Amino acid sequence: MNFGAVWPEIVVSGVGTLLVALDPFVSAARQRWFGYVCLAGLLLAGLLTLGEPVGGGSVLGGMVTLDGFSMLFRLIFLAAAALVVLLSLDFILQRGKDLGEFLSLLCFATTGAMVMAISRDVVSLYVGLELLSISSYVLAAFLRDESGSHEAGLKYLLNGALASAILLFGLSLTYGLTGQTSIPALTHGLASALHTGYAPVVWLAVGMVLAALAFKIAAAPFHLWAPDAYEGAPTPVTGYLMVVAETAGFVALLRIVDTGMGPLAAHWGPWLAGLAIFTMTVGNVTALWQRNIKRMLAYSSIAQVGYVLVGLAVATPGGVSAAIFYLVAYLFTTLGAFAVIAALSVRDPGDAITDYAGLGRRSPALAVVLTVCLASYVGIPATAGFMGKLALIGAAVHGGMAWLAVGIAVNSAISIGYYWTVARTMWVDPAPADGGAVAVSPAGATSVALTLVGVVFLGILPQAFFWLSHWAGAGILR
Amino acid sequence: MSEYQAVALYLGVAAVVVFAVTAGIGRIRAARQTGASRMPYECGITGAEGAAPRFPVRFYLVAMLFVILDVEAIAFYPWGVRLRALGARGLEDMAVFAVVLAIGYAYVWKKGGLDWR
Amino acid sequence: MIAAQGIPLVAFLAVAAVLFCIGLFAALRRANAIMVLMGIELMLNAVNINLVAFSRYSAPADAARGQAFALFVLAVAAAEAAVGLALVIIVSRRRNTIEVDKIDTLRG
Repeated sequence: MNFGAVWPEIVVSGVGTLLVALDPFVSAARQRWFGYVCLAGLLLAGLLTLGEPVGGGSVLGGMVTLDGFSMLFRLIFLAAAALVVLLSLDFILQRGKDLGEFLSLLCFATTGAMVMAISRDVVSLYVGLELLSISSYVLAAFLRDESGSHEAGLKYLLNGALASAILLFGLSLTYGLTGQTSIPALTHGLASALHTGYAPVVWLAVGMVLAALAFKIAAAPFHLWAPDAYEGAPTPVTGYLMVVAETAGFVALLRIVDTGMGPLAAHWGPWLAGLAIFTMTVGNVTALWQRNIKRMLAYSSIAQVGYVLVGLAVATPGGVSAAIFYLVAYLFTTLGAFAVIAALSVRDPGDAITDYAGLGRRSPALAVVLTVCLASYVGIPATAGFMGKLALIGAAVHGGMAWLAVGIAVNSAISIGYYWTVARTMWVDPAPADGGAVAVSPAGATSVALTLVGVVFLGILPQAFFWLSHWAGAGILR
Repeated sequence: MSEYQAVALYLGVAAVVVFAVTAGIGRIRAARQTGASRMPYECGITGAEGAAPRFPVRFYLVAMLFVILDVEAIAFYPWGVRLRALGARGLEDMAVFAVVLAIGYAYVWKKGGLDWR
Repeated sequence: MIAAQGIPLVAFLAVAAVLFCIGLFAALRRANAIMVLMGIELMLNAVNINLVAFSRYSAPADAARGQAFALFVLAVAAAEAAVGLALVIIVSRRRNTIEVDKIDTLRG
């Protein structure tokens, strides 16, 4: 067997193992350099990914495929992990926690997400999903002395494990129907099982897989765990979960549902469309009432999930590539917002929206970045979110589901309500008497700057990324 | 299907006995319960404490660490079954697996997870 | 040999389905975090019965695949249970309860 194909995964999990081995020998206060080791490992993995031939063939006994999709999503996960490392260094060190433990969990979670990206078989996809999920449960509960954090971890685990069990039951049925676990084999096997008298079992399997993955991406009505988990988790972890865990859920949806169950698209498409419109409406309307910025962004992320689902529901190549583009835009926008929130909460743990009063005068740079990210969430022109929504609306219209395009437009209008509240608090409300300028560390400033560049670049020069997402999504629908 | 008839008969008898005992016991026992009839055992040494004492939490910790080791060991079974066919390459792969597992347990040991304080 | 034993595939699937439903009921009742974890373990066991039965009956040419999947599910389930129990211990130490409905500091 040739392990060359998975060197990026080996490097990332190797860095995680190395940090586990080193952590007990270095006191918590002297662990900052672990962060640089971790960043170097992620960078090396990224370079190795770029150096790999993209053939689309299968390696490692058919478990893994190296197509454009696996390449792009590996890079997405590595970039997200690197940004989260940058924005979490000071947050974790300031709280006197073991950075080594935190970063190793982050590396293992990222390895899991990368394994999902390259999987061509439901067995490896499941193992990657669980590696990501189990590491995420521990990360969510990382500040275990704070009541919010351990509660978030427990709720995330109980719901995530339930979703995994339902997903597995559905997958065991698809194995029984087709005798195969490889995703291309499912594509043919399920379609023929439908015509040989096993239709009810096929529907049961498809329904269970869809419901379980809807749980994982926090689509309404399966989203009830998400606001609690996202509010209670440590701020950098919340950003990581919203971006990597949700994107990984979409990777599973694209691989298992769009590819593996592709011939049944006429049947599951309308269900996903309903899920999309319900999810974006519930997310946006509930976000209007929130007082805590992390909880508000949690509902906002549920709304974003609804937008991305539009691209999957239309089940056209254009829809898939629009969804992939939106996921990249969502990565930079969300991590930008969380870079600012994490920089602000390094010392001061207040997450209420009123804590942001007068930020425009206290720290204009941070306030500008957060405003740009909120504008990108709404879809104001010249931001990444605008281009993403434009692509999704175009895909919905071309895919014959124009009502979904109307849904996106109406929901964007609703969402202005709560994003505007934050912007007004930052720029109009007076700063508290004791509020001085916020000190930002070099690592934090780097993460803020990189995400800002991403959001603006995707908004002004999106062509390269449109081409990339089209290339990556090419093999998804057959 | 004759084996199944025996199983069905067994289940039927078990169900009847269980329902008869739980439903009938209230009709034949004494109306008022006092003194020795409320003890778990009617003769012998009186119990010193309840039957369900709380286990110390550290027991669960060690038990969990053992369960992990126990279950990771199943990864050795497929390798053991195909030992000769997999050859030196299989040995290398399992060595990597064992080293990673050992690092995990070394971490637990160093962090004090195995101390029975 | 399969025919001689006389147990049809449907029997295994029925046991698995019943086990899955019991587990799902325990998990959705959300009485107590330990009960939820036990329910999830039951559901995973149902999955394993399915996988092994299918690998024996409907994919004899490629039987190892289903059995290998079941081994992965076992290992992952143990890791999940260990993390779950660890979190339950943390919560019970801090709050003196593991009733899921009473763990409700976070709400909005």
